[in-house]
Amino acid sequence: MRGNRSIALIFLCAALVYPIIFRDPYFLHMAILGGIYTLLAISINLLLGYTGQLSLGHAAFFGVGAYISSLMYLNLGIPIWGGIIAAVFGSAILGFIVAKIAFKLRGAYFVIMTIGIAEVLKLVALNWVDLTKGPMGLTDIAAPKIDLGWAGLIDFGQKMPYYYLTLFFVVLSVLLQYRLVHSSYGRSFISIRENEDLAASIGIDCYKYLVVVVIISCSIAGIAGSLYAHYVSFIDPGVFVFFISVNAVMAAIGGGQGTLAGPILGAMLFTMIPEWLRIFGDARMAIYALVVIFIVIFMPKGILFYATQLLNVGKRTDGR
Amino acid sequence: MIFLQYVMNGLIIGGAYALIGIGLTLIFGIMNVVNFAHGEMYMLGAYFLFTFFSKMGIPFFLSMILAIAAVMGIGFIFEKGILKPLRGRSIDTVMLSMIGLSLFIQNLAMLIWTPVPESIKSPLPMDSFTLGGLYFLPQRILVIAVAILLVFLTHLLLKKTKIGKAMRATFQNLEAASLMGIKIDRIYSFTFVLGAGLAGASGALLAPIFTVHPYIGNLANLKAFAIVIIGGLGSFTGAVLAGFLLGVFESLGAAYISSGYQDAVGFILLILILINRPTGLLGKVGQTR
Amino acid sequence: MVAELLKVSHLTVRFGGLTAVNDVDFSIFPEEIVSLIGPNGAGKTTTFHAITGFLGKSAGKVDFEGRELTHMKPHQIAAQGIIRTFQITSLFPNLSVLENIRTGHHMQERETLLDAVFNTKRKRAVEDEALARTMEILKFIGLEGKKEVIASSLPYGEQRMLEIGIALAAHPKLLLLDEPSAGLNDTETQGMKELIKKMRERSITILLVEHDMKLVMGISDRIIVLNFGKKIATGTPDEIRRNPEVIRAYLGERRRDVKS
Repeated sequence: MRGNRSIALIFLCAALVYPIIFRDPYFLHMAILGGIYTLLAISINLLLGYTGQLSLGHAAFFGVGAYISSLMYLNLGIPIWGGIIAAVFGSAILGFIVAKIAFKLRGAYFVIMTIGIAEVLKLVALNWVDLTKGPMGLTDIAAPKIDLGWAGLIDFGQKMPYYYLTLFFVVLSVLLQYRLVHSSYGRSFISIRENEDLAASIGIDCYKYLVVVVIISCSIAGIAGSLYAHYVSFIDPGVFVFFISVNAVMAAIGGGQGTLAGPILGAMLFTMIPEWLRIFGDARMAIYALVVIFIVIFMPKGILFYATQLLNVGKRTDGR
Repeated sequence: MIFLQYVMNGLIIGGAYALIGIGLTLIFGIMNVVNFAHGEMYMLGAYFLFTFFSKMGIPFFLSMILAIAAVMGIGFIFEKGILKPLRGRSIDTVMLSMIGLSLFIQNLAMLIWTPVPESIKSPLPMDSFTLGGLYFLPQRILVIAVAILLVFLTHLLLKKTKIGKAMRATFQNLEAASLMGIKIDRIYSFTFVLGAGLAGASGALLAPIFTVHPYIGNLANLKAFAIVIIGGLGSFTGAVLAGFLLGVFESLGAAYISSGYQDAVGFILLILILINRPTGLLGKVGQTR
Repeated sequence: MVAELLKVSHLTVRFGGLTAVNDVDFSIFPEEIVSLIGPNGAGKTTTFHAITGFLGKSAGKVDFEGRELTHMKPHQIAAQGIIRTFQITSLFPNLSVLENIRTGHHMQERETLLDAVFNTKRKRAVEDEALARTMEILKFIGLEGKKEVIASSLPYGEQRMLEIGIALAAHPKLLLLDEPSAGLNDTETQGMKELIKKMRERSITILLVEHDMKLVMGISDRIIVLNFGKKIATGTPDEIRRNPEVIRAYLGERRRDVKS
């Protein structure tokens, strides 16, 4: 435990100095996207790695967060701070609705339901032109500037401040994940994955915990969406595409589901992998697909697991 | 009158939907595989027809048959090459593998045929004729005729042939079927190839009506899943019913509500069914795990 | 007259045209050890399912400590103090022995979401207590030395012990054991018997479904016999041993076996 804490602190320090060392806007851009994907990966990890429910529609909550935050700003002038809160509420409510209607479903049925929700929302975003401007999308979603007077101006429209903003939420989510896992909530989540009937027989209200984890998971995805919108300053119905959902799941699995560090590692990987594949030009997505197949079949426990096997350090699959 | 026209149009497309739905429900029901690559079989059916007919000039009906055969061949390769080695792995693993496979095929198709949408000009006459006050395009007649034929043939296969009976036995009780000497490997291969063929047929039939591009499989796949769940997992009749139902509802939805949300109809029905009756209209009770 | 802990009245469970439990009445009194026996298919496990909310009742009611349990979900019934084990080995397979039992302690841990997130003093106190209690149960069932072992890799006999440990962690007032000695050898069965006695010493009332007649006769205060869903006898081990209907019920089953 102590060892893990030190490693975590080292990573945190590295993350804090990263933009000072790597000033290249490209590296910052990748880091910000990586951070946003980390949030998505953590949200999937909570659902999949701990309660064992696979969602292939998390783009729904990501997209909802993005649109709500953007519309808050564009229509009501509310900056990102309010936007994120609104995004959390919106995604949480949507997540609650999904959990309520899908709670009896497991396995493939739950997966298909989540895919369906994302697709419906994509179509809504495409067709409700009055609200979302349809395929044209929303533009000029600005990030705010904070005037600290004597300390100067922090312009979140610049990459470096935005990096720290993203890092802030990543650290928050990692902490949240950590605290949850090491609590009776975490144990309840895991018991759902391991043996639902047994869990019920010892007094665990599986439905309640499922709803809680879905709401938390969706809220984090909503934050990711909001951060994304104010960063790229333009969103369209493409925030709901299947690829985002798949990539988020791959990040969670590839890093190591059911672990604390897995989503971070996986997100970094799966933000970089589409970039590295650019050298293949048009064949890039085809190769990405092969990577997906490879990891799913040969490394289902995630890179962290196989790496630690190699290094012969004992890491258990219950999140410690 | 125009209402009936919409219904008729919906039934026609519904026929093709039924085909792709039957294939998936058989695969999902008998093999317990969540075949996310099913839509790609549909897409390949369309593209093979394009290649054989529009590019190579092979006669239309022969091209269709060849296209279906080609898709079945590819289905065979996938089953033996990917699904068989994965048997026994968790359902999540298989599901995600099929997603990866589907992504791969889509993008491979994009590399082979380019992402430029193609259209196939059916050799059938382009003028519609009227029958009982309704308008029919010959290509659409072909769709419904072939769809009904294939549904009927598949039904006969399942009910009357030895392999059909073996398939149904495997669906009901895998262990018992295997103990009775049914060669499960062979049943699985056959099921998958049959499913692929039906999906390919669906794609080939609809290709001259809609445009063909590498990503048409996505929507087809999702609609197929909607049909399977609405009809009831593993239920042949359910898939047929749900296919036609979806076609009609989409047609009416596009006409009377909004054409933009046409594709959402399937999802909305799917979500409604999952809420109220997850086992589907005709499925077995208690199978949502 | 001691008030009954559990009262089952006119319990009937029907599914798919089959009446698995047919108008069954019985009561369990505090600190008793009662066995529910009967040939295969008599409805014993179904009765357990019905009492604990895993199956719905077609008719009848179940009262616990005077409170009616109808319409309660399994986790709510567990919260009342009725904990059950399962016929098929039921563990949290990928967790260690310690974590398995720790999870069983769930109901004792009054933690809110805020407690969890902010790691409050209260949470830490609760967790310390839970860990102490878990260690105690580990000693009680004799698995102390294996606390870090992953549950799925335990030998069968120890897995069954672990199941009891998990149930104990849930602080049962009434413990429903479903075939605790199934698949155990003689030594292990003896160990199970000792464990059941020790549990009764801790004021836990026990109702068990069992096939091992030696165990049943040796440990039960009372025995209830079911056949084809109906209660055909109830009494002390001696009474049941000599009951002609019971003998017929079991011999009848054996005759069927001999035929095939």
